[in-house]
Amino acid sequence: MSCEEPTTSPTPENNITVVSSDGKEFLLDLKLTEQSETLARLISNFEYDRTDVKKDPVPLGNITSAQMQKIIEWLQHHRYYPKWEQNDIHYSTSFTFETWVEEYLNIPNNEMFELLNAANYLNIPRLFSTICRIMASRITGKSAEQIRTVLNIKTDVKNDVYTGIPIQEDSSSSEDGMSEISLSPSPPPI
Amino acid sequence: MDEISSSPAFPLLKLPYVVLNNVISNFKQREILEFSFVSKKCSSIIKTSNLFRFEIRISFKENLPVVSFTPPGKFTLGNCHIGKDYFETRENYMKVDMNKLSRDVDEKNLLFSITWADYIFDLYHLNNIAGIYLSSNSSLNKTNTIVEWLNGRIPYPMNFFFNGSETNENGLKLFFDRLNVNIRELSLQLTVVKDLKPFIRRFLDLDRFEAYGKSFTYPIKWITMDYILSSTFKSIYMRYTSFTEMDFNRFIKGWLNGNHSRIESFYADVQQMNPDLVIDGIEVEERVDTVKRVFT
Repeated sequence: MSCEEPTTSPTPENNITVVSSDGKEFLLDLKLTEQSETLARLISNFEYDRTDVKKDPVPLGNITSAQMQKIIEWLQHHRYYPKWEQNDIHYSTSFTFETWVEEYLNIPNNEMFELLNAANYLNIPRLFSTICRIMASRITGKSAEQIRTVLNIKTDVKNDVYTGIPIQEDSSSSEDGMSEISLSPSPPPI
Repeated sequence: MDEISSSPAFPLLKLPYVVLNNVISNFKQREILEFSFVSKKCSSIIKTSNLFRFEIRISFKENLPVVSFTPPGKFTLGNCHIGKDYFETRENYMKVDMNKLSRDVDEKNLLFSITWADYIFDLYHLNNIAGIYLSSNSSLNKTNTIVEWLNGRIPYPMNFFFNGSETNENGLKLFFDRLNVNIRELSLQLTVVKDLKPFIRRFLDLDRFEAYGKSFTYPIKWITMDYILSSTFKSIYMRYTSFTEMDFNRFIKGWLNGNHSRIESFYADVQQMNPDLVIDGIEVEERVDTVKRVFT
């Protein structure tokens, strides 16, 4: 889905200023802030959506200017998207992402980590959920050993309650074990 | 994603709990299991996450369990089964002392099955599962081990499904004699069994009862209409029965006289049937399909 339309330049009436942790100011269109529940609530509480209210810059102590720049890019891309609604992600069977999203999140893991925390802090559900799904997709089909490598987790299960023997390298293929074995009889269709 | 491959690993475990929980809630069933093997900390994280969102069924019909994770009420849709080939390649994650294992392959597999089932119960904090699938031809030893495990694990009424190419009547009797778990739904797909009189009377008050014959050549012989008439099932589903028109006639008359007050559905198929004999002696009104009746 793509809903890009020409963006309008923010004017003093329809924007607020946010200040990143390193002191850089960003002018944000109020329309964009609707995607952030944290900012939207703040604007509502301080009535910054009224033209007769003086708008003080909003300090975002947990967000660096680089992260803010990245987040604004996300907000602008999704400016005209419908309001985010959490789907039944628990039962989705595949991870699919827009090309734009894949390119947007083609960033080093440390940046992804910071962006996820920033999305959580600003409560941008679409971005937050997307990064969570991207991270989950990276371990899809991987064995425990491979997950350790991907996430650089040192094992501590050698003496774990569930193991009595040293763990061996697991080189089974990713699809091993995912069989469509039927637990017949299936419930009858009545 | 070239940049990703050359960058340091994603420090997943350093995420705040709520964020980490959200990432994990996107894991699929198999990844949840795999992640629990990664480290003790990962296992703890899975245990503290709210992942009790699947209906879980465990089949002990094969040498190793088959575990089915499905969305609640959607057993026929989007099934995800984790089969014995998965468990076979991950035996080293289970706390089983190989030296103490019996040389008997069946006993070894049974021990692994129970160990896996215990692991899944612990991981998901389960005290109830949607169904247990068992072979109707299990050995007495296997039957006894499983029933003892169920007695120690399951406090709530649950569903049991038996099927198999052959039927071990002694095994079935042992299972039901020793089972302390209340049965909500029972499905019996049994090959020719003359009569299950010794224990069938105990099941006549279930919510749902299913019985399957092999074919119309080998229909269900082990439950008669007399048992059905004395039952209080809510739902009955029977495939390949040898019921006659008179049997159905008796059931309907009994129902009209106030018996089977709990019954909500009754399905039974027969090879051939004369509808006139079924309704013999019963006042009937032909249904007019165009009339819509609203029952409240």
